[in-house]
Amino acid sequence: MRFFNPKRNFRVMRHRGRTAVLSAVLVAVSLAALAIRGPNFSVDFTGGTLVEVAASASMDAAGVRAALAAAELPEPLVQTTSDGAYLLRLQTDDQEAGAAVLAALQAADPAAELRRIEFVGPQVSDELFTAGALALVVVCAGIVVYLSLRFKWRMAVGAIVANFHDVVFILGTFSLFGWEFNLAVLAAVLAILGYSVNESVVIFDRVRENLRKSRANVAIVEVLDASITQTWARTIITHGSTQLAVLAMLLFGGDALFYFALALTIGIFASIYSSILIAGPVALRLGLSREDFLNPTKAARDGAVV
Amino acid sequence: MKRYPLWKHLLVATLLVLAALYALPSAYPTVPALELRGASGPLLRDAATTLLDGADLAHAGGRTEEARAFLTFDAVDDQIQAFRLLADEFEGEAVVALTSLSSAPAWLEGFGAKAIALGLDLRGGVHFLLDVDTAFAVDRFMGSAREVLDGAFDEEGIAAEVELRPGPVLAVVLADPAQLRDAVDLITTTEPRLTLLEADGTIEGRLEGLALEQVIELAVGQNVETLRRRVDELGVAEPTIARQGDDRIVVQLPGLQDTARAKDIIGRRAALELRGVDEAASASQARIDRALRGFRSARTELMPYAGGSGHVFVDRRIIVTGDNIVDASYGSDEAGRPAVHLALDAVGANRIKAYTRRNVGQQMAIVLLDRDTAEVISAPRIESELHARFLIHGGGMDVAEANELALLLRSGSLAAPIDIVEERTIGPSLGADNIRKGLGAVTGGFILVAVFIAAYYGVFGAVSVAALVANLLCLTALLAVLGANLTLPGLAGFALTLGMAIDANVLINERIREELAAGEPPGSAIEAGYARAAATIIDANVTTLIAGLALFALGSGPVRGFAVVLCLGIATSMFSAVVVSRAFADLVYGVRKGRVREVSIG
Repeated sequence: MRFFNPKRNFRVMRHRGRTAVLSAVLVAVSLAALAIRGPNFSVDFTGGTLVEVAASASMDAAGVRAALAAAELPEPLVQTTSDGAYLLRLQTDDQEAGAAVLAALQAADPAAELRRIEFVGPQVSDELFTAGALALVVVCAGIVVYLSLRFKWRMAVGAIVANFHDVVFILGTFSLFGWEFNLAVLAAVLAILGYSVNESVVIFDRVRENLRKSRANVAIVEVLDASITQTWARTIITHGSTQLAVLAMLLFGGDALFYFALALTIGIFASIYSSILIAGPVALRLGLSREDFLNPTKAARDGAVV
Repeated sequence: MKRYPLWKHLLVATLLVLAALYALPSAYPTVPALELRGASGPLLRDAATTLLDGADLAHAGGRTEEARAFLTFDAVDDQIQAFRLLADEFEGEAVVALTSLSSAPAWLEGFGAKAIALGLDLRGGVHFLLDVDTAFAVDRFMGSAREVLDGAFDEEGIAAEVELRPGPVLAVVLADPAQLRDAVDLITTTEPRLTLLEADGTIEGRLEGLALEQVIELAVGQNVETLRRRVDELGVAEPTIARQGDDRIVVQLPGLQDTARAKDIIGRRAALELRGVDEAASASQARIDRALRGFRSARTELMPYAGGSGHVFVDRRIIVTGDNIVDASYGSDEAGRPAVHLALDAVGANRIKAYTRRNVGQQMAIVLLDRDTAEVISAPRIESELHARFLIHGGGMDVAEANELALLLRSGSLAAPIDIVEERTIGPSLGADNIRKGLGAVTGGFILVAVFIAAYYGVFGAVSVAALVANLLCLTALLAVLGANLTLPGLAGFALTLGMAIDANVLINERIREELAAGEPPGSAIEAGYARAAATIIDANVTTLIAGLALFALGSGPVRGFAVVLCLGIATSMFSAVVVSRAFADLVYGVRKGRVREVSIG
């Protein structure tokens, strides 16, 4: 089977002016969403108490609120999970709040069953926030170092910009739609960062190989187009199979894995887009030329090419 | 095509057999079980089965160790019912804990093969992160240093005022500044851990640097020990109590049902002190009122009775502290009231003996200190000289309270109070749910990826799928052998690894296709494909590894579980794609006589 080995080269680079506008809009919207709405952080990062309780059918959200009000507990944010349990979020530093909520609900509905309590104190949530931000910075820095060892600066910058686009886009989408941003989503963002860099690496490696084989008068734009086309099959199959695994998480993983899988999904598509339509164009914009490939860095010489 | 050398085939085969062996126990489901801990495992088991049979409760089987017995059940409901019955019956004699056992056959254990350990989010239970109040530990150290120095100055005949100032700073004000040198020498020999600063007739002592770290270290370490003993009494199988950072303690209690009780027992400082009582002062309502308004006396302090019935003046001097208690058990006194029997060590016994001999007929207060409260449990009259063993009662303790007090005294007090700064409780039904969904994601992901790759690459697709199975086995075995806790994000990492691992095979297969298209004969195309893709595969995994390691270093709990699976998964998937699939390809194409004419690669 060969669906993905096109006969003729894609001519994506000639549209790079238009895709640049598209990318700029995407990044601008993402940044705006981040700045205005901000991510909907879970208790991991905000601190507070989250209680998940499975109640009997007679209990509704209003009943849950009434039960808590009767026990003089703070007004919770009530959500329902896909299997009908109630998720209550209380913005409180009181470590006893979870147990009190459960007791109040069980008083109103003896069949109420505890599924989970998460209490994160203010100190811990601050630490998780700092550690999370630090992890993001460390991974980004690690990737920048890796790429600058691997490529000359124009390509390195192209790949880095593409990568940062992915992060901003995932964070922006989560902010825009108010999807819960928890520790698992952060883990997904970091994993996808490491994973998506590779896409740009594969394309640039192919560019280098093609340039060495081609005559001197072939335009670099065409070489980029050819390289993207030649790696297309690998791109689709690799991302396709990763996405299949993620799809299984979306379908079977339940609420707990849903946002994790969603972040991965957005990340996978963003990384396909950015490695083709951002990494190359940015490098071109910076004046990418044949010379950039003629004396490869040591790391690049050692690395083989797809 | 050059044959893959035999030794490599043998190596791959050996590794795969080992991986399968160590992965196998994880394939067996776990069964609900109860763990009984007591004096004798076999006796406990006999007693338990008799009780269960008597109550007509179903149980499946079990095994015994020297001081432990395990009973297994077919259903969780049976397990819970049996737990309630046995926990009641064995109260005080043995600890009963809910747990689960692997149903893997015993011969696997002979190889040391164990099932993957499940994290709390998969098996249910409680995770506490506790913050130790280190300032308290420092204050306490300074307080006792003050007492010691006060005594030392008296003994040496140096007139000095030793006082504790905020900071905490221990200030020694000398009556005669000429004695400064002697005083400094004395402090350095009696309490060398203090850093001293001299200024016109005053010596200031602070706890700094290494000495400060040691004091905190000691307090946190003692808290860990105390918590370990307390948790042991709670009835939890396989608890984790570990330090985290400088002043944090992680407590994980899998399968725990009664979290309220756990919090109560873990969080209480429970320091016991025996002190003298100022009866004359206690009888004067005027003095009590004055003390309640904030009037402080140097020799005594006012404390409430537990249960809120009145107050009593107790000496500031302590006769015996909980540190001198070697054993505590609950029982009843002659009148049949609930009481706690105490046994003291030699130091404690000598002190109580000396004090009670001199004070027969006087009252003695039994004081319980918790985080912010100090209460007098009771203030019985000393009828005769007390020895190493005696009992305390009072405050209208009921059996449960007496039992809990005995437990707390037995396990020792906390050197410094603790705060719960993070709690994650997962109910048993959610744990089971998470396993089901996590496994669903892994299985679903595996099937989808396998079908896609086999369809796309033909025989080489099948080789890739075989490599994927090998990857699955290796990763499972590695996690089981390393004893890493598998969490729900870990299971997600499993599924993700399966999807990403295929990349290596794609790189190889696409390269073989290209070599074939360039006119290479099939044999050398396969060889070149593997040889040239290897470096790219390593390259491709470097950045994911960077992300995985950062996550591991900075993440906690479940996220760390994800990072472990991600990093190990990168290692196993590189191995299975480059080495294992090469061996499989060789088995398919290398064994044919003569040249390979055709390669099925879609």
